[in-house]
Formats: sequence, structure tokens, C-alpha cells
Amino acid sequence: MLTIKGLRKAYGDLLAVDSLDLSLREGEIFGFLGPNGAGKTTTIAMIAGLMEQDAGEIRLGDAGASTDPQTRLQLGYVPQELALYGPLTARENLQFFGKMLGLKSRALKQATDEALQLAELTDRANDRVDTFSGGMKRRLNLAVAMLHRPRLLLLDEPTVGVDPQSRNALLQGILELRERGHTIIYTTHYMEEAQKICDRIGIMDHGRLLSVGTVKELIHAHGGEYEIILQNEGGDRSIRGINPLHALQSLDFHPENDLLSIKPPDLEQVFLNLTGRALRD
Amino acid sequence: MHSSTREPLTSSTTNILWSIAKNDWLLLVRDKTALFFTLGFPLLIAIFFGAAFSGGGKSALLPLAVVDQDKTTSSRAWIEALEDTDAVKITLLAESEAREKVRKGKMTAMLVIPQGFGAAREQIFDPLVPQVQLGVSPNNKAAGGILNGLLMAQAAKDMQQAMGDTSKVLTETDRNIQLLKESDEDAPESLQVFLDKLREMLAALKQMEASRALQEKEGKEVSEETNRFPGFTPLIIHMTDIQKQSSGPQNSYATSFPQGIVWGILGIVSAFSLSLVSETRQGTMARLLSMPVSRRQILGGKALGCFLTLVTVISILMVVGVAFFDISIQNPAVLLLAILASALGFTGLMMLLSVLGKTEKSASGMTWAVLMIMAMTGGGMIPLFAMPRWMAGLGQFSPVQWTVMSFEGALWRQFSVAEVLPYALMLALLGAGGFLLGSYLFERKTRA
Repeated sequence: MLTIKGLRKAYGDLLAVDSLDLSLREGEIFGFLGPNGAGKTTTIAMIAGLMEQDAGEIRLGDAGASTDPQTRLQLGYVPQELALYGPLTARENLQFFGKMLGLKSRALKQATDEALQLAELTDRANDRVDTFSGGMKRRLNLAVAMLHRPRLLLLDEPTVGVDPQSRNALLQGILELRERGHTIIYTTHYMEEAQKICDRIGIMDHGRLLSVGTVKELIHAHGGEYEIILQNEGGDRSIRGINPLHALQSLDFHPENDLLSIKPPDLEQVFLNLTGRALRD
Repeated sequence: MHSSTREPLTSSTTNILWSIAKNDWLLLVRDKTALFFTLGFPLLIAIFFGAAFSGGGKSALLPLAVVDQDKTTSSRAWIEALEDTDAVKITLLAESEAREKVRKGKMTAMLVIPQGFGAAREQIFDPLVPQVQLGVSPNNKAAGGILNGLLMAQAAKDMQQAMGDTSKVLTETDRNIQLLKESDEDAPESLQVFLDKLREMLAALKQMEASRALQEKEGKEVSEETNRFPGFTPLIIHMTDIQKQSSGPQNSYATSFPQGIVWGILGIVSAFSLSLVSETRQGTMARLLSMPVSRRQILGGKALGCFLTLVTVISILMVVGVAFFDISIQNPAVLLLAILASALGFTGLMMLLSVLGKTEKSASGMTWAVLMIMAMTGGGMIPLFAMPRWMAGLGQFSPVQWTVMSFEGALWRQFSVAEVLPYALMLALLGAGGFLLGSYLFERKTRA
């Protein structure tokens, strides 16, 4: 669906994206994870056609390169910022961006109504956006990108700064979009979100794609050891190992007195193992 | 909603430009503060200054053409003293040139200092009183009155200073005694004339000093009237009418409305120049750029929005001026050219300014700095005639001055299309240059 070959972008001496190769399947949610400055937003910006790559190729199926305005009709972009006009109403925002996408008259009205439904904002359609809560703005931000039903949806940290209810609604909405056949690229810093909704995940750092796979594949490849914790009157005892069954056999376990818990490696473990524990500014 | 891409998705450049322009217009209208500074404030400026100058009140610096036919040290000193009053801006000219300037309205009045003025001024006990000729338009009675009072006060002050100068009084007394001695007339009769004159002057001087002391005691500013000699004429002013050509402003609103238009333009340019930076900050620019819209179309839409807003606001100001403030349009074609050229010029300037700022604060600061300099040097704040010469010279390069001249040309300067064309062309060049440079910088900035 989306094919990226040898993508490269530098800002002066800083190599933001280095020889990136990636291929996305139709209808999957692909998670882009990486610490700050890893090159995720630059990659998304190049896919969205916002900036030109120094080298490499980005192709959207048969539609061509995303620098071509007509190809960009195949994608919807949700920036990190709330890319909305605060003084305008929700409907006015949708109508304006709909017109920019070439929608007219009845198609525009239909698209606007559907987007309002998707954002669950039909009853607030004629209220100014600057009176909305953070969650409402995030939902509208996503709905704008869905006006033209793009094949590929680029979501750049779409759940930043929203309450758990709105986050849950957004994630449900994104899963529904996948059900309808949309392909989604999703960047986030929330590991549990990525683990919950992404079919495949790519972990990026220093401009390079370090690893790509399903959550299970990544954990198997980079998750490291299981942690088995034994709690009794003598205190807590922790054992780490690749094979939890092996580790269990070595324990002196008394079910009547002891508590046993097994903590499998998770995506956060994978992320830290791949990108290190040093702070990033 | 289903997954297939919605059809049809084609949009013409006209639709995109119009939609962006309409969106920017809507954003401006929703921002009450910005709306006030683009329409309300300019209207207030136009009405306030128009009203302030319509009562024939004392103007700060009246342009006065002075013809010094006497050309003596005394006449020159008197002219310098007149200029030091900070009430007039004096230009020394030949009589014909001075008359022409007043006739064309480039100077408010003409003052002729005839031969013999210096001698009469120096001989304080002489029955001969200094005389001048003041030429003003009969329509400009206010300026005539102000200048009359000013000249009288200056002559009185002159006389007062002469009387306070003991060596001068002594010299003059000796000279008069010598004249009496040499005279064939009966001395007592001549002496009587001299003493009467002296008494008259001293009595007037005493009364003037008493009035001044009283005013100072009451803490009042010493009035111009107090500086005049009561019952004594220190200067004879011959008033002459100089018929002015009908090219002068019909009323003060004819000059204040072009200034109001300038303020409207500055408000709009300022509001629109922040638009690109704001769109970048809030992410809507990235969203627009991810859509099938080119950078040129985005800029074009913003330019169209700014241009249409300028045309609308200027037109509203003109309609208000004509309907309620008795402004008459001398040449509609010149006015149309002035509106279009100024809107075009300042749209281009807006495009350039809008891409130079990196943040809203820097864009706002830079825009206002540039616009204020243009307004100051171009006559948007201070009338051109009241400016220091160097500043007025700079004003020739200010688009604000080109704009003011274009609108004044349409309202009262009676410009023909050919006469307004140089200003219009400069504004059009500014517009085209600003748009091209702005587009180039915008492309570079957003593709990096």
C-alpha cells in the first residue's frame, strides 16, 4: 500500500532520517515508536508531502509519489497540533478543509455530517472550536482528516493531552477505521496504546528503523527475560530468565505460604532494550 | 462511512483561492479586536482629525511664503524672529513664485516685506510705522486671522524689546534731537510730536506690562493679546486676497479620510501578516500542505483575502466620507486606481512581511516597526509640511505617501489619471515584488 525505499533527510549535519525502508499492508495499523528526535515526525512529514526528502522514494500504491498533489488525496494527515481554527465552528472548520479537498455542495455536506458523527460532535456542530474541551478538539482533529475517506491515515500522536474517556473513544474510532479498510500509520509515546491497537510496530532511533514486526515478534526478538517474583515472609525474590518454566523449577515454592507472579517482557522493555535508557532531550 | 475514497475530488484554483480568502475574512470578522483596528479605528482617526481641524483652530505650523524685498539685516532678523515663534514654517521666495504657491494651495499665505521695512523698524520714535503685505486666500479666513495676530504680536514684542534696550533708545533719542536741531520747523511743535509719540508708546508699554504681571500672578499663560500694544499700532498689515485654485481640500475631512484609509490599510496588513505564522504554529498550515493544495494557491488565497479586505474597508471609508462628511470625489477613475493600487501594493507588502517572521511575536513586532516607519515618514501621522526636511525627503520612498497622494489626488488635488499613475505604478510594483519575493521565501521555508 505504502512503499518507502532508501528514504533520507538531513538538517545540516544532523541526519534526521537515514536509509529508511518500509512497506505497509492494506488495512493495517502500523505503529511508529521512537524517543524524541528519532525521526518519526520527519518521516511522517515526508510521507504527507510536507517536505521533500534528500534521497529515496515514497509511493502510495499505484497513485505515485506523495509530493504530487493528486496523490495526496489518498492520504489524511492528523498533525500533533490541534490543526483547527478556534474562532470558527466545528462545521465551518470541516467545510473549509472539505473545500480544500475538492468536495462540493452535496458531497461536502454529507462528508461534514459524517465527520461530525465520527467525532461525536453533531450536537456541537455550530459551536466555536475554541469553546471545546481538549478531547473534543482531538476528535475533531481526527475527523477533519477523514473527510475524504483517505486510504492512508497519518496520525501523529493523536491522543496527547486528552482524558482517559476521550482517549478510549479515539482509540475505538481508530480501530473502527481499520475495520472499514483504512491503512493507518500511528506515532505515539504511549506503549500500551501501541500494544493495544497496532498490528505491526516499527521502532526508530537516530533516523534508523531498528526493528519492525508484530508486538509478539518484537517481544520475542528484543523483549529479553521474563521476571518471576516470589513473595513470602522472608521477603521478595526475583528471578529473571528467558524460559519461565525453567526458572520456576529452580524455585522452592510453597503454595500455602507464597505468592508467585510472572511478568512477561512487554513493548516498553523492547523499546528500552532497542533505544537504551539514556535520557533524550 | 465506508472505505472507498470519496468522489469527485477536483477543485479549481479559483475555488481554492476563494475558499482561503473567505476563511481568512471570516477569521478576521470573528476577531473583534482585529476588526476594530481594521475598520473602527481608521474611521475614528478620520473623524477625529477631520473634526479637530475643521474649526479653523490654530494650526501647529502654517506654511508661509516670505518675500523679503527689503533685504536688510533688520528684515532678516525679523524673519528669523518670526520663524522662532514655532507657529509658521517659512520659505523665502520671489513674489511671483510665492503668489503661485499660495494660489495652488501649496503655501497657506504670502508675506511681502517691502523696502524700507528695516529702516522703519529700527527708528522707534519715527512716526513711520513698519508695513507688510499679507496675502491669503479669501476662503482661508482662519489662517489670515491667525497670521494677522501673529505678526502683530511679533511686532509688539519687537517694539518692547527695542524700548528695553537703553542704548538703542538713547541712540534714537539723540538722533531725534539732532533731527530737531537741524529741522527748519518750529522746535516746540516737532518736539510736541516726538513727546506725544513717546508718551503714547510708554503708556501702551506700561499697560502691557501690567496685564502680563496680572496674568502671571494668576498663573495663566501670557496670551498673545497681552503682547500687543493697546491703542498703538507697531505694524501696518495690508491684507490682499489671493484667489486660490479650486484644487484645495473642500474641508478638513478630505485630508483626514486619506489618513484614516492609511490606518485602515496598516491594520489590515498587520492582521493578515500574522496569518501565515499563526497557521504554522497551530498546525493548520501543515494540514493544508498535506492536502492537494499548492503553496502558491495557499499564498494566493491569503493575498486575495487581504486584497478584498483592503478594497472593502477603503470603500466603506469612502462611502462614509461622502455620505456623512461632505467629501466629494473629483475624479472617480483616479479614486478607483488609488483603491486598486494601494490594495495591491500593501497586499504584496503583507505577503513579504508574513513570511519573514518566525514566531507571531517577531512577525507582529517587525510588521509594526516597518509600517510605523512608513507611516511616520509617509505622512500617516504627521502632515508632510510639518516634518523636518530630511524626514519629508524619506517620505518620498514610503508607500504610505504614495497612497495618501493617490487618494488626495482623487479627492481634492484634482489629479488626472496620468498624474496619479506614477504613484499607482510604484504601489503595483511593490505589490508584485512583495508577492514574488514572499512566494519564493515561503517555498524555501516550508520545503526545508
